[in-house]
Amino acid sequence: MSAGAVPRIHLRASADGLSHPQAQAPYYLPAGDEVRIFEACHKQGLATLLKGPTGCGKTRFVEYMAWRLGRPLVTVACHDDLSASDLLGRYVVRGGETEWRDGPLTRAVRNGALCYLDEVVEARQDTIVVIHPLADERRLLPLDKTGELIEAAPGFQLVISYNPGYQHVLKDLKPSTRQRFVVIEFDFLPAEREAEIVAHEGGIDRLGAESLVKLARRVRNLRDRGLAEAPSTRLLVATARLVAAGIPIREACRTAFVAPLSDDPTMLASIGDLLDATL
Amino acid sequence: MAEAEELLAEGALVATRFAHDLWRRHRAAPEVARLADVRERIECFVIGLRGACPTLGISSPPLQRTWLGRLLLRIPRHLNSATAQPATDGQRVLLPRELAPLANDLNALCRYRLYALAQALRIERKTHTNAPLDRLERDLFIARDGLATLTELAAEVPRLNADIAACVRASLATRPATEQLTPLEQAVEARLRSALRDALSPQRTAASVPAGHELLAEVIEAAAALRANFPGRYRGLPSAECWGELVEAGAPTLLAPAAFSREAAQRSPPRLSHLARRPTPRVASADEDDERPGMFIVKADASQTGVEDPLGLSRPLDEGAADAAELSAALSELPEARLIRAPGAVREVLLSEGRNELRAAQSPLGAPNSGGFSYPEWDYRISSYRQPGALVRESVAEVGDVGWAETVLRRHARLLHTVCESFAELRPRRSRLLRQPDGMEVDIDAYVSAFANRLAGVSWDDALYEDVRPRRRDVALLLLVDASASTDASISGRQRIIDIEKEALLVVCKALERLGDRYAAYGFSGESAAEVRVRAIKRFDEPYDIAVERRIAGLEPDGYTRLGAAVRRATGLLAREQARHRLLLIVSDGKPNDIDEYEGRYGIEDARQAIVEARLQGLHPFCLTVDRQAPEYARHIFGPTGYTLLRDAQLLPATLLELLRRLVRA
Repeated sequence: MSAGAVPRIHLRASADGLSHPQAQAPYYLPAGDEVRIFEACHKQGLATLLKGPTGCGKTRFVEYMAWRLGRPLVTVACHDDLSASDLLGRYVVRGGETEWRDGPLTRAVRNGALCYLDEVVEARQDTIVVIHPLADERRLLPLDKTGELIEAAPGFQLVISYNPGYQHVLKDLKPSTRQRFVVIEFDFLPAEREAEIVAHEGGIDRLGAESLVKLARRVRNLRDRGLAEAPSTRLLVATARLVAAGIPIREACRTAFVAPLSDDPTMLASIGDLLDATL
Repeated sequence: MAEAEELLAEGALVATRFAHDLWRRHRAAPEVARLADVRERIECFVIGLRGACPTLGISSPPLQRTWLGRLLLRIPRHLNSATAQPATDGQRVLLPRELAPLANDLNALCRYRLYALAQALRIERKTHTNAPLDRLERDLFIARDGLATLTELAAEVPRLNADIAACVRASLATRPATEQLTPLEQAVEARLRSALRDALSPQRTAASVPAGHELLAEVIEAAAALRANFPGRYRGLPSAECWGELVEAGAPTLLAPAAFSREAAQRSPPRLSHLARRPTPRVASADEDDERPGMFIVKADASQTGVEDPLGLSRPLDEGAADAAELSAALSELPEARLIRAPGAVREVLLSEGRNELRAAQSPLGAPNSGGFSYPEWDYRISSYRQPGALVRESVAEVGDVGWAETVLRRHARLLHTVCESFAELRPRRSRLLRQPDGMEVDIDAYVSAFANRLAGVSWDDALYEDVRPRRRDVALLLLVDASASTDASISGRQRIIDIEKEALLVVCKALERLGDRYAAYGFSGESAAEVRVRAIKRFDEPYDIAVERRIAGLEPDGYTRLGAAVRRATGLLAREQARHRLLLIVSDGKPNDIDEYEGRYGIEDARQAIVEARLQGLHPFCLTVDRQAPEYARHIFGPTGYTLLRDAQLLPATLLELLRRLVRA
């Protein structure tokens, strides 16, 4: 088992609600020129939308960029009850006194951090509107409650992510939101690169990683055949970790790779066929 | 008065039938796999390994010649095989209807997988186009190219090596005996066997795989050398099963059941049987039919057999005496048959698997309607709308059998129950609404927040209560069901696509009724741009009642799928609804087509434009299709997330439900 199997913490959480970059770089293997584009966006203060299937490295990319740019990072996982004050902040009562407490977005704006809103479609429409003035050239955050108008500190960058694969007609980004963002598209890496990641992150040998990636690429071909979501690199890394922990590879694939993909017996059987033909 | 001879013949017939049945009962091994059952898995397997899967079809067993027929046509015994071989016509993968496991522990599913993969590879290698026409050269080429195919396959999927070897060994074991072959044939046979043995040798993976056209020169040279050195005729040799046959992509062949006549279907359901082999349709020669019926000759010396049919003109089949199985067996023996279309009820339906390429009979146009709605059509060639486009005639669907709905609901009682149960979950539930200006209880969170705001001296909201109220889900749904002639194809033996659509529609309407949302259902079909028929099954402001049930029952396939115009009409109807979320759900079985140019890209582009228009009007179109080829065009028309492929039409009600749940969940 190599050192890569141990999950590492790339960012240090701290009391100020920001994660500050560590000395060691998070492991990230660029797919194209996304690093260069992101740096240009950062320099120009443009908001960025990361678009791509689940588990293809969007979050890791943001962590890596935060490290590379030397900025703190605030991550918010969006859910459908996320209200505007969850992002902006609220007054709290403390011993008869009131105190304003910044929300994660406000904190990021004040500190010039990267603010990453993960799966932003999940948030309510009225919440998403809050980010509009921050996402265009104004770079302002009005706080109605305190009457403040905060100008984003240099270094602040708004990053949101979005998975277009879900078939959910009632949830989509409004065009007015979309058009404020520079879109960087993500997809699964070419086989070579993906195998490198699986070998590194999962802590298994190159040969095993290659066969796992081969299997994943074959199963991804079934995307049009009723597979809701293609098997992700994350799923492969999880499988590889099981293998690194001593589970036989076929067994690991069945439990960590095949089973999470579908509940449909025919689909499971088909994936099982591909597993047999690959490993 | 029965003669002794007749008795004997009858007895012999009964005895043979009995023996035949007995033989079949005992022979049928439980592990035999049928293509219909494993098709899904095979397709997924090929898609997974090769990225795409050609259409799968059934390969017909060769025509069985009688002894006399063989003698007359001089067909040698070794070519008179009864088993269907895997094959390709350059576009489709053709596989036998059913396969048994091989003796050396290769199960039937593995055989199917291997054959499908090999044929898909042959399509990619363009084996069909490369193959020479001369019989000797062709057979040599097939073997040489087959060896290359298997080598490529083994290199690409090394795990299949053992399966390939088992299959090659089986092919080697079934080669014809050499005694009856001419010297030339013996020499060719030796070549074929050596190719098979090469496929078994372990070194073959190391060899580089030659492309098809590279083999051609080599094969032609070899054929010339063989012809020069060995005497005798070359009558052909059977191909090895492991790499399969090449067949010609014939004209569309299918004995489609003529449109089911409704009265007849009610009177007695047609008898069904499977057709083992489809005869090729034959075009009638010009002088084949007499314009007028000629004279009858009544043989006066024969005794009169019956009063209803004094001339003895009715065949046993007309009287309904023969059973459908016998008919299908008889028809399978014909090399070709003429297609005729006759009015009247259909009594026997012979199911033949494969794509329904033949259009069902045109049905007479419905009663003339008062006018229609004209919609422009998108012409991709000029990137503009074409006026006049299509004329949509909307009418109320014809009513069908009263008892149908009841029968179906009884048959699907459990399904209905499950569907209703799951829909009940979607029913607007009483939900807790926070931060209301008035309500039953105080909203603690809101209160604390407002209190803090007040202390801080900023404005605060007076919405401090929470209330429990049934939530209104603002959804309107329009179901647009494809009722074109292609839905006449049977999908699972006994049921046609339209039957499954109808049953699903009924169950879903029943369930939607309980849900309380506004919904409507329309069927569509049509013929030409001037006659697109949209038939109202249930309008938005119509209650669900027996009339709706009867209209679902009366839905019968006819005409074509002019999707664009139908979608535009449905969009118009749905856009009038006030609901916040308006869903347009299209249930379809194939790509847009019509008798004119709508068949090709024009139809697809127009349908795509119609869907774009619907989106622009704030509707959510979504398509549910049973067509396996759908990914090729549905992605283009509906967008990558705008459709779902239904892998088993039986699942239609359940899938519709699941889809509604997903779409409606807010």
